[in-house]
Amino acid sequence: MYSFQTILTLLLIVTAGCAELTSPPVVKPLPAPPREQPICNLPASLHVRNWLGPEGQGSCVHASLKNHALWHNDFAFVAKWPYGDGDYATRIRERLDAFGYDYAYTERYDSRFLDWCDRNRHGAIIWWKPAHCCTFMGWVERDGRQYAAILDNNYPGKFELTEREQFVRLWAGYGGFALCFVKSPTIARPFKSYEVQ
Amino acid sequence: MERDVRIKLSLGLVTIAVMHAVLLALVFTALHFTPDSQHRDNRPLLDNLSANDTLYREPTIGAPMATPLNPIHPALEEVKHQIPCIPCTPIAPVNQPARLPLAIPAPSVTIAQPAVSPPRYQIALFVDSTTRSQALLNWWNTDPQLQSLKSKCDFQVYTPTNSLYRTRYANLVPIEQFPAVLFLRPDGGHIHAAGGNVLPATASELWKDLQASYELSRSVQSAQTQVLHSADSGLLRERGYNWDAAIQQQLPITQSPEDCLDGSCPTDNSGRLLPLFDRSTSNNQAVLWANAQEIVTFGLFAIAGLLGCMLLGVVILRRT
Repeated sequence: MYSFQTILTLLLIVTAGCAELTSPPVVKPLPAPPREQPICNLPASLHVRNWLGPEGQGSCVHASLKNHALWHNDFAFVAKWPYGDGDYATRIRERLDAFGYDYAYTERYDSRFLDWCDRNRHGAIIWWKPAHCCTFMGWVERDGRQYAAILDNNYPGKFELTEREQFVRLWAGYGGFALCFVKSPTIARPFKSYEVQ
Repeated sequence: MERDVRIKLSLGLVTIAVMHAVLLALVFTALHFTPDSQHRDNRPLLDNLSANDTLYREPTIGAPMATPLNPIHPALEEVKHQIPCIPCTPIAPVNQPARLPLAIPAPSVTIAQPAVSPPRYQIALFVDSTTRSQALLNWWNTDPQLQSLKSKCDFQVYTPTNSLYRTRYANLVPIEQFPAVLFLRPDGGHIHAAGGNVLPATASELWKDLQASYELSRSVQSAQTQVLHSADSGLLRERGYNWDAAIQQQLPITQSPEDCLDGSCPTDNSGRLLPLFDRSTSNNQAVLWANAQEIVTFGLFAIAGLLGCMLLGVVILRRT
């Protein structure tokens, strides 16, 4: 029979030559496309147009809220929000409180609030143009300058641009109020960020 | 007594070598982790998520009647005349003072400021009325790990009839691939994408897939540093605005632990993405972090080493 030595040698041969540890997968980053502009790029087909309420007043505040809600994929809000006609900041907040909606706002034309809204892809409703309410859709970079992109519910289907510094000054003149929902907006435009080689 | 170890080439030795090769092949076939297998099976979704995908369309700027692409509010006076407007009167409070464009109104109301928090990762489910879709939805409501991840992320659900889905995402996630899961970075960069038959059968498998994909994506983040939660607006600094002093007065930027995903805040603001899957807080406590294949290899190495030592010992003893 085989000696203990020989047996050991054979076992060593069987177990030796094991495959080396697998190397970790090689992951290659892929370039990111340009940032969507404006960041709250609500499709034109979903823009809500202003309407006359029961009291014969324009409903721009509520149209703006609905555009804002649609960007947050909140179709239930659009369907259930019962208000129309004109409105003002305090009552809007009271109504949203009653509706159980969390929000953030400023009344000091604080552009950093809009920066936050842009950075977190919320957008906001703002007092904009005389006796009017529109929806801030984010900042747009053009030729090295920054512009506010505004969705005016009187002109759905397009975004109007105003250079940032002028925008802030004018916004102050219109009251400087802005409000945004604190809830998840719709997801950003997905892109393939890496591949495994 | 014979002292030398001699190995003769024999039929038995050849048989042993063939068995060795076959066993190795069987072991690796059963346990081999193909890092890209899940991604290969996800190809239909990932193929749509090309880096240069043109889902985004340049919005139509300016009036539809071919006016120039310029800001349309050069001055307040012109605004009043330019915009024919449906009467849409925000009813002003009685005591609201008249304001000039450049006047600084006295702050007379308490202003709620949003907590300065970093943009969040995103999870999107694409579901229909099938049983698998309902099961997928249920996982995110019942599985503790998925629930925890969901609470840290922006979370959205899309159905085939959702208008946002039809206008923004339908070409990326076709209905044929429902149910589907997208796990995205705050900028939309994909971390994980799975749909159709590639979707795992259990919540825990989905969790592991998400975790594995997250680790893969983190390995490339050093090449894609983004300032995601810096409070620096850039533009304000260019104007010489004292950002820090103003921020301390008006916006609390010190992060409380609740603002941070894993309960601990980074000490710098370099913009690194915060960890979502922290091994120290996971339920998987282990001395050695290795997959099954690596463990088998370790074991075989240990056995081979032990046998080698035994053989060497025998040879030495025989010689002495």
